Amino acid sequence: VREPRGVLAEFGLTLPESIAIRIWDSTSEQRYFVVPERPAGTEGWNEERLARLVTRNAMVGTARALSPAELETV
Amino acid sequence: MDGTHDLGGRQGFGPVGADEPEEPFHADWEARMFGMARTMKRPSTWNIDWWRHSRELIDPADYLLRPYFDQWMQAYAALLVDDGLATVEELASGHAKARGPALGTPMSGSEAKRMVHRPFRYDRPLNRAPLYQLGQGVRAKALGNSGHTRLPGYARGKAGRVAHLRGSHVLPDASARGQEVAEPLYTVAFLAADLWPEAAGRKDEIMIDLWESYLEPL
Repeated sequence: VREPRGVLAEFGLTLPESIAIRIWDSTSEQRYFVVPERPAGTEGWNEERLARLVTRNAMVGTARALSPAELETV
Repeated sequence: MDGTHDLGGRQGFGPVGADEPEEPFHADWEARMFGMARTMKRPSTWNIDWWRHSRELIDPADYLLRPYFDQWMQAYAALLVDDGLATVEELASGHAKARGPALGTPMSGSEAKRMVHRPFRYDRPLNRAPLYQLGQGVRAKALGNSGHTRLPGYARGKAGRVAHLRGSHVLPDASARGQEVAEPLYTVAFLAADLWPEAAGRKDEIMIDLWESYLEPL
């Protein structure tokens, strides 16, 4: 809640200053889940192909989804 | 209560374990503790908020150093002793000296499996209009209480705005005392710069789910 950019950097994700961060501090009544931002170059992909871009860390909000190029190298 | 558990914004704990393994349990005993907790028959007076408060009462050094599911064990052990269902001696020896009160038939294996996936619901019908409207300025009260509360210490006395109306939910503070009271719940957006010196000049926001009685109008 206090140093989101620093924590994300520890996970290897450095966000540009132009991106504002919203931190959701759940008090347990509402649960939240992360929908990763769709990477460029995935227009027309079906669900199965898109799912291959989503890593564990992308689902906990500490990484972006893989790009099509990154998927090639995994 | 203003205890060690209220860790939001506390510093000095070192880097986050970004490479923690993905498995849900780090040892067999943790899975066993989880299974026992979800399937045990229990007195009707126990609820999640009373249990959470009993966790908050764990010795601060233990709270910070012992594994998460060890805290579950300590909290349940305290509840068992508090309700006279077991003595400290019995828990320490692992042997009951007397048969406890009948709490119902133990679960079967298949019931236990279903139980693990059973959602608990704490939302309730909203039977009056919420006091605060979407977009309205509110201030988190500067005081919590010495029992259970889910108003984080770091938000107390701070001003924000109502970002979402979340219906009506059981108030944990009263529930921990054995009273079910439902209240409107709001997601309140605070400007991070109003909370932390590190965020000065940024537009970052902290969104916190807060019950109506935690708030006062600006």
